[in-house]
Amino acid sequence: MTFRFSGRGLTGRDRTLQRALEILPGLTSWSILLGMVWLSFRHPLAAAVAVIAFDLHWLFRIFYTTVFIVLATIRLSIEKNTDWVARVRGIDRLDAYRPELPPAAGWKEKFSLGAHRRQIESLRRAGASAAPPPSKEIYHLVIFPVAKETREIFEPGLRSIVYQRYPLKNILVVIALEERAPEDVKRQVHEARKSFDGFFDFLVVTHPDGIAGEARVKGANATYAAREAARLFEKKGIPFENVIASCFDADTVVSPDYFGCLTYHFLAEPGRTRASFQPIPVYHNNFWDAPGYARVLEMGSSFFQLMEATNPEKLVTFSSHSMSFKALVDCGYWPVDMISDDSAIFWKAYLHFDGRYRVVPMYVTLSMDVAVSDNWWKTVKNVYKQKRRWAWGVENFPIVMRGFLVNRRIPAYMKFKHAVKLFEGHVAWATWAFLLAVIGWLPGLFAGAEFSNSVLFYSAPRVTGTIFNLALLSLVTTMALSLYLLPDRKMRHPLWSRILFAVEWTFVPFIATFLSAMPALDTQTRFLLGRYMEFWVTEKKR
Amino acid sequence: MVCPLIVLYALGYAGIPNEGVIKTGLVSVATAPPGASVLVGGAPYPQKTPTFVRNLPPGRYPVTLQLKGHRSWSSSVEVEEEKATVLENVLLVPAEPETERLAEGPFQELAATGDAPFLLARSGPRAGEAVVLDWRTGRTRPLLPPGSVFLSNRIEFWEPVPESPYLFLALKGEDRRLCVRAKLGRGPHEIEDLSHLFPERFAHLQWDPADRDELFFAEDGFLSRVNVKSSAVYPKFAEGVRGYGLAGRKVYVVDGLGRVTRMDRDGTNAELVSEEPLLASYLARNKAFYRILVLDREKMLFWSEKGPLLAAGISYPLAEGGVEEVVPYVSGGKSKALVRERHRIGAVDFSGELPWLTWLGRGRELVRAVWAHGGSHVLFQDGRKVFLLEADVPVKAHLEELLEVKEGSAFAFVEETGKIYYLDRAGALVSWRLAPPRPSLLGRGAEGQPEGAAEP
Repeated sequence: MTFRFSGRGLTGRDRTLQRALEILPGLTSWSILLGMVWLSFRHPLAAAVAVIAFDLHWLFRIFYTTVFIVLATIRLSIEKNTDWVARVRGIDRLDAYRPELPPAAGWKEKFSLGAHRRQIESLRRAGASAAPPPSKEIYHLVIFPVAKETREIFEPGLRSIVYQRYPLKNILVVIALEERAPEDVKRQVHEARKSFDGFFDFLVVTHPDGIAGEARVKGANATYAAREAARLFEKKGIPFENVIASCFDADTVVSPDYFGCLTYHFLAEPGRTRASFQPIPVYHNNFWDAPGYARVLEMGSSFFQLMEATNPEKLVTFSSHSMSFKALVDCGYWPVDMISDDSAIFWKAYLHFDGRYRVVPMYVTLSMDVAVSDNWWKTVKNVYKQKRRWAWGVENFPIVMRGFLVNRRIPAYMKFKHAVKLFEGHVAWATWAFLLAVIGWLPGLFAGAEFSNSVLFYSAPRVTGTIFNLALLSLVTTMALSLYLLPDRKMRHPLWSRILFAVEWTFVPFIATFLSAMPALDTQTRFLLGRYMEFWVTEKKR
Repeated sequence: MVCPLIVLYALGYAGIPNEGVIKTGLVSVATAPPGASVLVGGAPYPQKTPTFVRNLPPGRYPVTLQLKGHRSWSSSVEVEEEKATVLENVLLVPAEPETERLAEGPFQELAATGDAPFLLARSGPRAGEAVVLDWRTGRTRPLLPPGSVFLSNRIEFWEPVPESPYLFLALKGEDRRLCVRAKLGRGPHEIEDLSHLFPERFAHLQWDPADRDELFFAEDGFLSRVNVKSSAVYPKFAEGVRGYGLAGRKVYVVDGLGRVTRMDRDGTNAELVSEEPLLASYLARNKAFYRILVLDREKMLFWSEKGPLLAAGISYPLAEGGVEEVVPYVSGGKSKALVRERHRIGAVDFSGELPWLTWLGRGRELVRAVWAHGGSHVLFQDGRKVFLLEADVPVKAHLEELLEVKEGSAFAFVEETGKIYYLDRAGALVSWRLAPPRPSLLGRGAEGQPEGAAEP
């Protein structure tokens, strides 16, 4: 379906609809928060019932989430030692390969091989039309957008590609350099280019400033670079169907298995040209240099993505990810006027391909920087702004809803599922922490004589106390898992540091309120008022 | 499915044998001291106080609280569906109270010194016959140091300085009244002669609660102010005064027309607080001089021993006359005042839209009444007997007889120690533990007297 995936330049009914849908998330979040405050003052009894019901809902949700995080972490652990390149070679000779698969040694290998068998069986059943091209004909386009990141930020990512267990001659690296980048950064980019060889090619594409129809956003820069790469692939006669595009943040460092794993999933996916591939983002580059609250927050982001990976039907691309280059070109590249290019490209492709587009989870990590700055307070501001930018993903909601309204080919139940998840996800992000940490206590604090002499006044603390105690089980599990996911860097006092990190999780209520819910509410309020954000490049320091 | 069940449980729904699922109520009980056994409807409840007993079908239940070494407490409690009957401030009276003889005396009179950690006892009318008890240490020492020139002067009245170790003494001199400020402490008491700051005739002395160096007095319808520290006198800064009170660095004044104004301490920035005509007519009607008790900006009581007890916001008297004592209590946003007449005591409640006086009990010769146990109880003295009365329970108030004091003397109660201080028949100063001490308040030391300071 042809649909202009943008909220800008609209007229008439589209403009009105877009504006109404822009207002809806913020209005809902504020209505929930202020409504609960009002209810706590005027009808504390009703408010207390609502709080208990909400706390129970929250408890079930975190139990559900914790179970899936545990499962995903186990899967990540299982696939840690998988030889993806060997599996890629296997798919190259699919019929002969299946009977050759060795018996599994332990339970982990058994599970991994079982999943692998199911994947190649599904590929075989998909028939000749879904047959993958030979792996040696698969090319990777890796784009690193650079705006003001210095060499010490982007060079580790380039180096991580050199260390891949995958042939470099099939990898095209493109640094998408903003024309407005500082001269020093431009010089460092060109110097870095000279330090690396062995790739299929290494381009530095400078994105001109002020192209008509573009905002100052990362998506515009990446799109410009991808168009340049497309010309190169055309010139070399490489079909876009055989190219996988990865758009990374400048600080992204991939694990040595990343491109092997990505190639495997691309080849094993029958609908590979209608798919994105989502790794698990971790924030290990400068993990131990970051303040405790930032560590907890970013570990929380990793957990969220781990949990999402267990539900591919509703999975949406996030941060650094990969996708079929053919799909990227067909749907018109990344939006050039949106901040949340990572999730927007999924929705754009989903609408373009009438719902026949999916995200394939990959149990492999790539690592980025925690948004650290010069000091504790500056880092707080940095993290706050970064989360506000992430929360700007709410800009997808009105556009996707307009797309759903005009697209008749996407099944109604899929539209409903995605719409609910998108809307509820953003509203929950902006409200839950406030409800749990602050507003949930108001009915008790403002209890008048009528409420303080009710059975509920005495029951509510007992019920909510039990709920929070049960929620501690989830927190303890999360603490344990976070210790497992920590980077292995040798430290002077590793045990002490790990214990300290576990203790830092106890500050989750404050961190979630002030550095997650508050920026999300800030974003939704700006969106509600029509005060649109431009892309703010996260300051990253090492 | 689970969610509605838990919400219904929280609201008080419960499955009761033979009755099915019904709306129930609960009884919340807290005692001082805690740890009392609870019997509801004759059946023991497994948990000790503080606790609450859930799932009680609506009805009336006998509730008994028992704690070893204390008198048992029983009452009939009404339980309503979805409601909590709150018995949060049950004070269990010791069955065999812990008493201590602090000084042999014999003394004639006993008085508290407001918020300072001292009690005064007198064995005669002269200043040299008064001793000070530090209730933190239990030690007594003479009010005036040996050799003081005021030893033989008779005490006319004394007025403690709020939240300070100071005491104002009016003494009868040979030809005029002498005014003295005594600084009470663990060392020799410092005595300061302030007589030169006061006229010969003055009345209605009040210390400024916001500044312990400032005091006010009335004289022939004028209001004057004295700063003790700088020895400065600000005479007659307000005229036509028929009553006054102090709160929040402001002076509240009743004028001859019964109007109430609020002004700065030098008489400037006067603003009318109340010109409610009926209140004004009551205030202006008789010759009484009113003391204004300001509980907060809008809650005020106008009290005079000769006139009716009045309150801001209402146009009728709370009590027609004969109120001998008014004891305000303000805590946690709650305001109330204890009112004592010769034959009855009551409490003014400010929690409703209008202040309301409820008579709590009667007596033959009531001589003193004070709030106790955080304002939930009243201690009062009828003749020689001291009683404890519940003032904040949703059941019939319990009245407990506690002790007898020396004829002509009155008891004192210190909330921080939880003790009643009194003079026994022989005139000895004795303490009687009523409630557990409140350590958070005990750490408060007198000015310039760090805790644990050595005795000289």
